Amino acid sequence: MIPLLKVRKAGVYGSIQDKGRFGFQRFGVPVSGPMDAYAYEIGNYILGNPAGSPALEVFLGGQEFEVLSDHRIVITGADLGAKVDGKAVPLWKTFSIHQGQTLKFTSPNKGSIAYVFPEGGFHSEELLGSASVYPKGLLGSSLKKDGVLYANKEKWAGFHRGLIPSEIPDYLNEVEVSVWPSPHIEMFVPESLEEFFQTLYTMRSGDRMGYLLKGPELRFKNGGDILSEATQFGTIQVPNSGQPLILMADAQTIGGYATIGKIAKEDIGKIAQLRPGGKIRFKIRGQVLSL
Amino acid sequence: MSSTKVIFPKVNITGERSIRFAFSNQVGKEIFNQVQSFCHMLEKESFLIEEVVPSYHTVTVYLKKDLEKIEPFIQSVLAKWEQQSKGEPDWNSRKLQIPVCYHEEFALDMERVMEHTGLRNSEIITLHSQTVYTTYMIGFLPGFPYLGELNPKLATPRLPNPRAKVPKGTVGIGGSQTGIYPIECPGGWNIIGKTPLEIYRPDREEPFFIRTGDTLRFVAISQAEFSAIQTQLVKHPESICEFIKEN
Repeated sequence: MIPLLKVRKAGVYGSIQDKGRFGFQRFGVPVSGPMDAYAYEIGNYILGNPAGSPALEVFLGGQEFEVLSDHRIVITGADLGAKVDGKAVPLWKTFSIHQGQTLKFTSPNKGSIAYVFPEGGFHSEELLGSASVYPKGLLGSSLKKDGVLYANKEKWAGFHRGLIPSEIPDYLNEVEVSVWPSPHIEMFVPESLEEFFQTLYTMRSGDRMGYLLKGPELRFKNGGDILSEATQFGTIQVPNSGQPLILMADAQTIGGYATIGKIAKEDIGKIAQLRPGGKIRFKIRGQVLSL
Repeated sequence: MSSTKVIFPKVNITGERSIRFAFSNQVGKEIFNQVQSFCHMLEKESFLIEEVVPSYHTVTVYLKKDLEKIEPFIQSVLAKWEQQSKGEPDWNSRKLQIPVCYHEEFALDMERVMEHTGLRNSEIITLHSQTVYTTYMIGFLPGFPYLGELNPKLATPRLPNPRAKVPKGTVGIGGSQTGIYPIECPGGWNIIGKTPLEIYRPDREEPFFIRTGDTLRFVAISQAEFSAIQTQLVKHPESICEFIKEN
């Protein structure tokens, strides 16, 4: 256990995440885990860490750390203007940091969520079988000023490694995602549903629990309340306001609002990386919607 | 389960790894029994299954990996369910006793419930603690039980302005539901008492005291008993098992 980073500023939000906490949804505990699974998995891959090693997930910038040990790290995901002692550092490519330096995420240039990985991942207590932080469920704590983050392994003296550029995702402000339709889809007025799949929706605000959208109001035939049932990461829920929201990694495990469907797994990361103002176009997955 | 006849669920593939089995559109004991039997059957067939999440009327199955074809898996599950119908159900619900102190120190909204229901304090306590509640599902918060059925005489609308903080262990009435807050959180239910039991504690060997299918009863206790139980549980968190009355 190597003391690596001391938190000077916690920024917008930051938390340790591993691949997720499985097996407790029936007890009301969400899976959690990374919001952008690709950026998370690739980070561990670049460093040669075991898949599923805990990473630090940071939102939108503002985080500042004092480097406590010489080490090799990699940052993947969004370009949040990461700098060491004021100098820009590479993304998707390992680099060295040295004791006494300052690592800072200055501002979101592209995308909204970045991941930081040290050798062996961050050391973090496992609760209910996972290191993923879910503060609402008393499962770990988010990034706090003066907290210290520990690396699992010592610095590695080898060469640097990066991802080939063709594999680096481009985080766009307008994304198209496909949707697994929900059985509740029949509860919506057909014209309203048709409009949903033809119009761009705007991301209004969001966090690890959910992303709120704005666009044409969805209308129900007879109200949108349902008997509560299971929801998951990517479920598109429509409260009575008619403005949809997308449930994200830390969302509650069951919900009482009608749903339109679930975002396809390979597309959730694109939504996660949107910033307020970003646009989403929804497509029904692999089938024609009969209205 | 009184009858061995099974209902065949409606099946929807709701994601790469999720399947929704819907048994009905209503809440009821018979549907609940079907949901429970189905979950127990699935738990024994777990090599492809990551987890099973029941609700009042549905069972959602999450798979461990993407299957190339999901239909054969569904067919095999339904075939087993048909077999199941020929045998006896093999699950029993656990019976839990939840000690609750209804003293005014904790029962912050007892006056409001009295006013709304027209019942006396003692009548409210009796009606609330007489009922045997069934845990239909757990969710909303870690360990939060959805219980049925509250005596309709006790139904009281939620507070017009929810409290910013409700302590863990608080027992409340929200509309026609009753429940226990597993952790401190904001809440709009009418507070009528508090249990010294920690129904959710992530560092305990059994983090979740209540499971879907459990039946439970509230047992009225005094403030002194409340303190005694609380002290005991601080020393021996695992002694919470004493409140499981049978298996």
